[in-house]
Amino acid sequence: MIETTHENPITTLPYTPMPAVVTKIITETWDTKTFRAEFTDEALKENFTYEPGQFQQVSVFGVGECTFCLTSSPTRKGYIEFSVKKVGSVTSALHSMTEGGVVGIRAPLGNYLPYHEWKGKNLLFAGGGIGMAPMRALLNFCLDNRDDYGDITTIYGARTPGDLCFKYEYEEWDSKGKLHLTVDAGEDDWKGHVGHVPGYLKELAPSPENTIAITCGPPIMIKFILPEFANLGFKPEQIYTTLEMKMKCGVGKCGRCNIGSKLVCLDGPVFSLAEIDELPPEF
Amino acid sequence: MADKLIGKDKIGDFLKALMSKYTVVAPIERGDAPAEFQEIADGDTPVLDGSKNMMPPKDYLLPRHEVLVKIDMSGGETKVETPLPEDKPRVIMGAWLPDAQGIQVLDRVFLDRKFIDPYYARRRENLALVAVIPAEMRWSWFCGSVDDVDTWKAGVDALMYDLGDKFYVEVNSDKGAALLEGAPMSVVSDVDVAAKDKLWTEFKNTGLLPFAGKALYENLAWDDPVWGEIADKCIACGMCSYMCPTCTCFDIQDETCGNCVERYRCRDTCQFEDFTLMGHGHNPRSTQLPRSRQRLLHKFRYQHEQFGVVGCTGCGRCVELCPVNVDIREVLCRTCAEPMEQAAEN
Amino acid sequence: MIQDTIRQEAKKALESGEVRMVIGWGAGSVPFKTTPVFVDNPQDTDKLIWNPACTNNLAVYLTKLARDGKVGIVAKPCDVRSIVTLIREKQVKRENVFIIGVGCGGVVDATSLQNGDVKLREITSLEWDGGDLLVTTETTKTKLSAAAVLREQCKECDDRTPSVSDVSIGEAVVRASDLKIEIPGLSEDRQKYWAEQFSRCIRCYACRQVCPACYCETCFCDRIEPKWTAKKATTDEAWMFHATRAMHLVGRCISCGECERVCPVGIPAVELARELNAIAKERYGFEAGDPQADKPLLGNYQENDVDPAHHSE
Repeated sequence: MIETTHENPITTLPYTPMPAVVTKIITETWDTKTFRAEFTDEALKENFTYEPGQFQQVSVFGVGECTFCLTSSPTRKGYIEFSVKKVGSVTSALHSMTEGGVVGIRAPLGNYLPYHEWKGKNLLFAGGGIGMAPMRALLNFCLDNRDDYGDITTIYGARTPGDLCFKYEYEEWDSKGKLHLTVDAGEDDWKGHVGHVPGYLKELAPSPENTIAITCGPPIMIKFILPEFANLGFKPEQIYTTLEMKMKCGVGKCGRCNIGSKLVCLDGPVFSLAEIDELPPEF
Repeated sequence: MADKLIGKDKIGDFLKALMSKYTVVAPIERGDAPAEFQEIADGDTPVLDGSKNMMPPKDYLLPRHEVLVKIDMSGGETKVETPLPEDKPRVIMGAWLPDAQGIQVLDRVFLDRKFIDPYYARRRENLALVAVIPAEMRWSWFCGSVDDVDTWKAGVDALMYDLGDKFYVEVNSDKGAALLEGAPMSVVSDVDVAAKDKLWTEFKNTGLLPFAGKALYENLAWDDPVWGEIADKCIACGMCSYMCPTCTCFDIQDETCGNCVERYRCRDTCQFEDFTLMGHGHNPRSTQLPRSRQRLLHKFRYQHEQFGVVGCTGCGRCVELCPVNVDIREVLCRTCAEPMEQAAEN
Repeated sequence: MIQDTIRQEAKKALESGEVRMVIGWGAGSVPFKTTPVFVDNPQDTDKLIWNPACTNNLAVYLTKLARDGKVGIVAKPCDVRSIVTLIREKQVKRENVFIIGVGCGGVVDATSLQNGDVKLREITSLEWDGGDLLVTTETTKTKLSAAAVLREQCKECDDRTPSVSDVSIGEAVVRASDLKIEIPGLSEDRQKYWAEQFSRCIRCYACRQVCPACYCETCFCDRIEPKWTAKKATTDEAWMFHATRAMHLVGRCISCGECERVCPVGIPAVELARELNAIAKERYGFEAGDPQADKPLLGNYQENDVDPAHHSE
């Protein structure tokens, strides 16, 4: 028996979750909550580092584990955040949790958005629904390192105004960068844009010049947004996304997240469209 | 160390001596069911000549049920423990050579990638492998078609050839030599060498399929109609995967007992619908066709792309056992062989 | 010859447009095995074969294939019992199945051939010669007794002609009488016997998947909420799976023995259902696969039914 020590065991004991206390729960929408958690191990809490785009395996002990992206920015230290849409047993258990509850965390896992290659470039985020979560890590990271980047533009959409997440950060996103919101169906008091994200992208027509596009959202949005990017002149090398596949181990062993010979948990979850074009059409 | 002979009547003494230094893992008979690799105890008579059906040795290295972590939540504190297997010298005996080679494939997955699997590593690190070439080849073997089997000898510490009343023992490593030190063995004669060579040639040529080399992994096509034909027939059980010496996929589940939780892993297979089914209902492999394709492409193409070796050793278990006679050899002949013939014409 | 007649009948049914497909047995990858084939072109009917290795109960495909439109199926008497059950349980419509019934005196357990002097890889053909199996290789012809090679469930079978069919081919043959199913160890300590069996279970679900009666969209043991059994392959969990499956098969399992045939670790799962069926017959006079019964056993309550809770042995 090995008692887990004060270091992050992910490299040596990759299946061993580290206990963390939920310190804050934000109700984002009717079916989505964002959880802030802090490792109970003080040393780990101090020393834990990660990169925007990486993911984690979150345990509700006794129910199971589920994969979530790290939606917080590594620049904001002492805690990590993940956004949870209630769909299955683990996510339901998380939703019924209260502040002070204990979860298990295995992180950080996977590759990350190669932001260090993007210094001096304009960044364009295009997200739909809960798909904003993985991009929020990089968005806030870049806003915290504002001088390293050119324009930081965000196009974010959801079905209804009530389905938009992270409302409490829009002011920051729009003041330090530029934020364009859209909904599929507005309500009476909705003053913003109405329409799907791909259509809004076409309308806004951002220049591909010196720009990297990061997009994430439901499969149907991705399907329609990629041609719009192409029409605007974006090349596959300029477009990045994070892929979602079912995962159990998160460390390249359990065998279920492969697309061709690539494993989403090890080689991803971040892929450029150029890389995705090389993969078999499995998703 | 020079090759040696060991009489079958001396095997009992040999095992006894071996057990004082090693934990010996060998196939134990279970009536009509396939023998299973277990840690043997005094008085056990394992099947060392490879003559019987047996479960793959992966069942020992990657148990069908293994507790990964124990979580104790009593007393208001959450304690997480990681119960790793004991670190001790082990030897696997009596594995068919293709099964021993299968362990090389497991190594790539569990020891070779960014993360080392600590449970597998504990059993594997201090492990010697003694493989066997039985007196009679199995009808379903096609080892010589998936790889250059001569290269497999380097992966085992010793190789035993069944020559009737004795084994011809080829020692391939220092580990193997240490294992056999002091064993009641005698020197080999030219006749023995000839008998061993004959057996090896027979093994190499058993079930050879009409293609070779690159055709095996390069000619498998994503859109080959054969995947649909397999899927029509396939009843979607997990037997081919669970009995396969190289299929490694697993699931992780929690089990609660009072204030404690045991998180264990158990077998899983790409043939089951829920394997890739996500919580929100989307399944990238929602029908049997992509699932049938996944298993074969993974073994022959993806693993080759990842590791430079194919993930099949030609042990033939799936050939013998498939309930609907989906014969992997036929599938390979169809998908791989045809372009070879074309190549010959050109 | 039976095989020729099967092909002719299949051809007729396909040519006339009565069925869109005929499910039958085709040549296996080796001469001692057969494989399911799905013939949808009259020109391909010579893919259909009939020999002592036609073991698969093809009714397992009906729930999927006979849902929309009519299909033909080549069926042994036991397979017909499965079809009868599927129709009774409203999984398949009678008018959607064209049954090409074949008289049968039992089929062969390929693994039993391994025990003789015959080498499997050398076999070129299998055929019945009266009560014996004639095994031909390139150089030899060997006769093996039916008792030695028949599949376990065929030994006690007295259903030799299909009870329901649209075309009936071949005569009833009795290969060997007085054969008994022998399950060593089962008669002694049953608890111990089954614990040992289930300890070997690897949870591959071949038994369930090959079973025509196991047609649930989601098996109870694959359900997550509630979780009836854990996925791990331990004796207790395997027991839960096999025992529950057996309960679900009372009055429905027609003892084709496919589950036993396909089990890679030799668990005779069919014996559980057989035992329960025997009780159903004794108490309620119900026989699984009997075309005369109009309702399923558990869907047919009679006021004078024996109450199992008060039933005394």
